[in-house]
Amino acid sequence: MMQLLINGLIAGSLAALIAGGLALVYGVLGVFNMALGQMALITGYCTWWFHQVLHLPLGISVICGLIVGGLVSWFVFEIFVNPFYKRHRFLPLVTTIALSMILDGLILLIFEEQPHAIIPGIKDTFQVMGAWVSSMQILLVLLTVLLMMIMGYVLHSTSFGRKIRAVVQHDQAAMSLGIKAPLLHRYIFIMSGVLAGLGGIYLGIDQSLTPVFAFPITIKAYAAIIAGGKGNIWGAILCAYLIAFLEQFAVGIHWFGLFYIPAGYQQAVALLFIIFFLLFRPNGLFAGRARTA
Amino acid sequence: MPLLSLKDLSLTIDEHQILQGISFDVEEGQIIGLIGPNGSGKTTLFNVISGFLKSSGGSITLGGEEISNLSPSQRAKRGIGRVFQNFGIFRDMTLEENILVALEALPRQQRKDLGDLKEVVAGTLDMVGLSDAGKKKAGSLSGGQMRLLEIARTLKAGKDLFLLDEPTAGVSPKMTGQVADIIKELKSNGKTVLIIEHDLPFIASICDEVVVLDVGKVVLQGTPAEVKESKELKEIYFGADPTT
Amino acid sequence: MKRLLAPLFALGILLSACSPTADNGTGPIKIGFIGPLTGDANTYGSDTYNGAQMKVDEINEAGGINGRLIEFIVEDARCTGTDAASAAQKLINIDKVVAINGGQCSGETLAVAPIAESAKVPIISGGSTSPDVTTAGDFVFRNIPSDALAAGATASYLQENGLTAIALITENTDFAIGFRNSLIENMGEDSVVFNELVEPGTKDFRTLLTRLQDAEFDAFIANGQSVAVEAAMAMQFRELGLDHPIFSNNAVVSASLSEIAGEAVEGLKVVMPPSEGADANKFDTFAAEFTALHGPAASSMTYAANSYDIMGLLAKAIAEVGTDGIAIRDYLYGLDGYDGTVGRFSFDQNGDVVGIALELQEVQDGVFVKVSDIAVE
Repeated sequence: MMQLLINGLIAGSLAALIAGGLALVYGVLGVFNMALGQMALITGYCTWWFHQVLHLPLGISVICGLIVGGLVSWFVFEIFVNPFYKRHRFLPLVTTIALSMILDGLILLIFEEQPHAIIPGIKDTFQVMGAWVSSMQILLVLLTVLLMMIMGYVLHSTSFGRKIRAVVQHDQAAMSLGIKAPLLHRYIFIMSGVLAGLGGIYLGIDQSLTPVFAFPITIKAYAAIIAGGKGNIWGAILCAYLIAFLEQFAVGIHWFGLFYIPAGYQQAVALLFIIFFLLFRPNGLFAGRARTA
Repeated sequence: MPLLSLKDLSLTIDEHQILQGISFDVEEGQIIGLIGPNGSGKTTLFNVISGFLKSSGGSITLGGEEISNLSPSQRAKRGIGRVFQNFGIFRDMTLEENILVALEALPRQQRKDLGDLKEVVAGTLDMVGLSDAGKKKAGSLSGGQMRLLEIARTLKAGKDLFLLDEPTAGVSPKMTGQVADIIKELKSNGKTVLIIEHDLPFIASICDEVVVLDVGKVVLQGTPAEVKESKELKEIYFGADPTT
Repeated sequence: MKRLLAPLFALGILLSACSPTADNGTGPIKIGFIGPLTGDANTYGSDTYNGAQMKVDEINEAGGINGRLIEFIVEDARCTGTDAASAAQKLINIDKVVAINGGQCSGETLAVAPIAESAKVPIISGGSTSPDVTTAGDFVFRNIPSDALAAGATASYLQENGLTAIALITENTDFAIGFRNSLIENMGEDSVVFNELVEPGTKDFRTLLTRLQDAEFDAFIANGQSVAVEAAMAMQFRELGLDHPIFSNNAVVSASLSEIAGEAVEGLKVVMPPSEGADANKFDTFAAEFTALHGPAASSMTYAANSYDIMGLLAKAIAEVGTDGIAIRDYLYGLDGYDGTVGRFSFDQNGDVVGIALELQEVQDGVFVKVSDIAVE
């Protein structure tokens, strides 16, 4: 049981990073970024390149990777989102789908098909209350939680965060108070790219990076933000964890002492649960209204 | 010199002429009522003045400066404050945060001049009698309370020109008087107010002048008494009287 | 796919029915080649093509087959069934080849098989390992062992070493499911204590593997189709403190497996087609010649060698029984043994290769090395 919880935490933290990034952009700009999974992978791949090819220390590689990820996000915002999202908020849906295909191709071209791991090999594991974990996993989970706490602090206890929340909740009112909403939009988009990029690095450290993984990441993050109440960042993050726990419990529990749910249905079970759930709470688990922060 | 001056202002969206040839001046310290039937372009005009919509022609000057090419936040920094029909408050933020964020958005010098922001926040809440509710989410307030909070916030954020879009909408009759009082207080503070309102007696009781819009044009301008008596107003609201 | 191909088949039958005999006894002897020269699998295509062309050049320089030169006609099928089918139509009906080396991918071979069958043109594949090729038709041969044989050999090895209770996690792909089914068939349902199927690309196995902590089993079969999935399975298995031996299938044999999984895959065992022939000298000579001409093999030297042997075998068959398809087919079934670079082999009643030993490979210090030969029944 303990192991299931830990497994859920490990999988959930990864999902939460991506879902958090997605929810941030959806919440603030009202835009679905379909290329977020690819952007996450690019940051992961760059970190791998800095660490495994240039042999820079891990910490520096992560920072360099995030810088590249941030620059890519900025570029993406200026070219694929900014010119379109004010005309209609579904336009970026199309442009970012196109972008995701371009990035898929670029990743294949530059990093090739074979998988890459930022830290290859087994991590030294030990037992905590009967559950096996590695110190790297504990570090990753704690860093994710820390990051979420920092994000929470920034959003709720700083002037910058208040401005962001103001823009999310009533962008015209925020602008008529002198808040530069378009500038915040740019910051938010870059921040979401960096957050998702951390997810890519997490994936590259805990598992491995493969070009085809971008789409499944994106889809699961969407499930989390829909279940969490569209645009509700905390709802999305909590639901990312919830989905991860559900997936682990679905196949990890001997249901009624009779059977296990076949592993092939692992992902479907969690998503079905969410569909079922939304039938009763169409606005999502944590939403009073749509798009709040 | 008028505080706000609109000259031959027009707006065209997808070949539809939404506003055309709008010209009028607003003197400092005046309260001007903006009336007209639904769809006559009142809120659109507000959006053009506050910068959410870009005018297609004509000029908008504020204190002599041409502002029609400025962004909404730049116009806000020059003193244009807006109160929204659908309540321009941040519902998931506390009352205190709602005021604080407005103060924090001010230019650095203006913010410094205010002194301790916490005291300004407390003063603002006190002004609208919500001192006890500072930690509550703004979304939990009644319509009237939200409106008072929004106006007080705009006032404390040092705006000079107030664009009030139907300040009595969603406000209980009991609190309409309080809203009228705070608008009068704006005037006594030397502020200038442009106000969209359907409630004609309300307009008559507080405005110095009334501008009547119909299908995107100014059709009438004068004191509330003049406008009230005019034949044109009745025609606009009730159609031309076939007996005359 | 079937629906798409049906009109082509019909056309093929019509054309072959009204065409004159393929070979008139004079001029060059036409032999076809079908393989993935472009596309994702082009490394197999270039190795098999280069191997085949080497043998054709050798034969032609030595005067051809009974004085007739070989005309080698090459078609690209991009590892897809549709392209392979049209390539086969062209080779058989327009070029009127005597036999075909190919396809290389299993999908190619399976699409070519019915066309070859109806036109009575024998085909030999050096790269198709799908168990389905066994029953693909009377004119279909291969000199690479079927995956079913590899699975069977894996099962025998497990049983011989007392590893009778196995835990299986299978990636949901045709290849991996085929491997799993053959393995279970050979070991019996009772020896499988854990049998889970996961979606392709799954990388989080922790909870599934957690269940293994309480299970009694002797060996873990990490039955993935891609290196990333395989690496994740092995790493997470070891990270949960499980120290059972790990076995896998030959789809995951790649240098990048150890690059990612490191010590997690040390000792991982796989039954593979031979990395070199029984006669090491003969194979090495071939490999050296090949490398001198084309550089190192893009995929594996085995595929090049198989393709080289196919051309040699076809030339020998034609020299002895002539260019009639049925005669060549009967010759191949009756073959006592052909001494190729990969060893001496013949075919069973299904056209599957006999005599090519599989081998057990193990990861040692990050590299797949041969541990022992495994005889194939």
